[in-house]
Amino acid sequence: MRVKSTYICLFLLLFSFLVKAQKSTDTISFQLLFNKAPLALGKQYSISDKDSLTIDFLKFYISDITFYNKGKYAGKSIEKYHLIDAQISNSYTTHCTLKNKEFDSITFSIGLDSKTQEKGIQGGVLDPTSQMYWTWQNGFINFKLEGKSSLCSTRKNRFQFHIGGFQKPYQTRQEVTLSHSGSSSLMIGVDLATFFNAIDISQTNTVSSPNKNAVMVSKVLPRLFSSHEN
Amino acid sequence: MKIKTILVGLGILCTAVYCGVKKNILQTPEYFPVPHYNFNNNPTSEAKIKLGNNLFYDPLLSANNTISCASCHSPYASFAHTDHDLSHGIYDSIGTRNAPPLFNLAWQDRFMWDGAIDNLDAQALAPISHATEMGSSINEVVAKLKAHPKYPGLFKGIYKDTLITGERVVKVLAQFQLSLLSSDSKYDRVQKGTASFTTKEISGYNIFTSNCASCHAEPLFSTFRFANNGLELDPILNDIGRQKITLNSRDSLHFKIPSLRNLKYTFPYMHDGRFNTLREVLKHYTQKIKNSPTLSPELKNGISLTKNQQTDLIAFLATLNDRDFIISQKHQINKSFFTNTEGN
Repeated sequence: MRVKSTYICLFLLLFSFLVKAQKSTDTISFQLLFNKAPLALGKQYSISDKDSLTIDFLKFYISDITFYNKGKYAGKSIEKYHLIDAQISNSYTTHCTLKNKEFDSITFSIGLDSKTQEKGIQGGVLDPTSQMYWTWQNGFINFKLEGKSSLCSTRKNRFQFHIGGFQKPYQTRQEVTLSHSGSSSLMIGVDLATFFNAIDISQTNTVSSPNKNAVMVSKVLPRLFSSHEN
Repeated sequence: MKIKTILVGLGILCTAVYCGVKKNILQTPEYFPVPHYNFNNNPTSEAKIKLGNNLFYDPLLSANNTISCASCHSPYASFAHTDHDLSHGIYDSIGTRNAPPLFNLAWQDRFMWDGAIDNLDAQALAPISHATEMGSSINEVVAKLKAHPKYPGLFKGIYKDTLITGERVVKVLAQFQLSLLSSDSKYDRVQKGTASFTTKEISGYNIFTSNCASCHAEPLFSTFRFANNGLELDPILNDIGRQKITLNSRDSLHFKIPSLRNLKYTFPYMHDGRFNTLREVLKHYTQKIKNSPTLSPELKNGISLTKNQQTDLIAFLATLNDRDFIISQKHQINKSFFTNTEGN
């Protein structure tokens, strides 16, 4: 009886290894851009004949990356949460497990789900030293963008977008779906110029709590993302 | 057959041991409700509480090493700030609200007078980084702790590595705060059957149950919900309370309902510390309720109490003062930790 169950256990163990071996690990890279060229922090970008802007800080969460092939689940990211920090180029890449190399679409969220938000302080990329947990209220910031522009009549011409909020009516997590042709690894472009084309920073330049403006800005974010073959 | 019996026995034993693993070592009285705090995310231990105690009393948490949590949350004031209507912070700055007392926090689901924070672990981030409180940041605190002669060793004793993270710092701080249990007042001894109320206290208790208990419910003496208790708006502070967080006008002038335990130590009262004595508080409730659209419905007609009834009520409230909690050595500063910090 005991010998038999040991064999069954061994078989199951081997089988699980075989299943695992069929899966492949792939990387998915996010490329931060400004007008299709690689984004440089602190660089002055002109946005009209007389106005310009610089981006000094950019961090955002990408979560639940999931791959599909012909509508069927085809894999997901190894880590549930990924924090992209414009200052750390290592953070642009994350690893995924794919059933096989084939997929034709990918979905992910910009920001964190409410269950994660409600759980509060956690470790890893969710550690409060990531500077993404609000200090004066609860919740993680989903998308944090700071810089300066001659268009902003604020102190030191600063703009500051701390986009977050997970409780009704100010929910700011946004879903992104991108289609992908071919079977090569994936590069996702994140073009910040799109942000400034959509948001008039002479009018809206400081958003730092869950409110109507945060929701409005969050709805623009999916448009920043586009897929390219590598 | 024998092996099977042994296996079943082992199974039962393992389950029993697993269920017996206590996530919460804190002793709470039977008549307290189930705590709100999720101890699974931060299981308590003596070592963590002790480390949290050191952090709580350490001015290292502030930008210029002058302000500790205890600066505004003194053990002798039931971890409030006696005699200070508004909290005092770094560089002699003055805040906008009265520092609330800290006890029985595991039963509370929202913190700060406006409930801005719904997670005790996260709460410490607010004073650490507030410009008029400690003026620092969790990143700065973590860096200082890493360079400290004693802290890395203490973290290693708990987490088996010297890695100090923001998560560990705030969770250890929460552990000390969770250990602040106030459940040894005369009221508690009456509940436990080891003391009895005087006639005056019984009269006060009856006045309490029919006039105050809907918001200040036993045994914690608060529902920890939010309410507008009819205070006149201070035109300088202009504090609209919870509305600032929810952006909902129905929450205008709503503040967190405080516990009535330990009132002897926590004056001045109200979110802006405007009343110095319980007599003034009762004068407010009996004579000065300001009507407004968000006023608590229980207070629409004010509370009517004779002078004698007020005296009896105050006598009952005095039974909620927990002297043992105030003088408990385990909640005080660990002086030996703060001496010889320079050396090893």
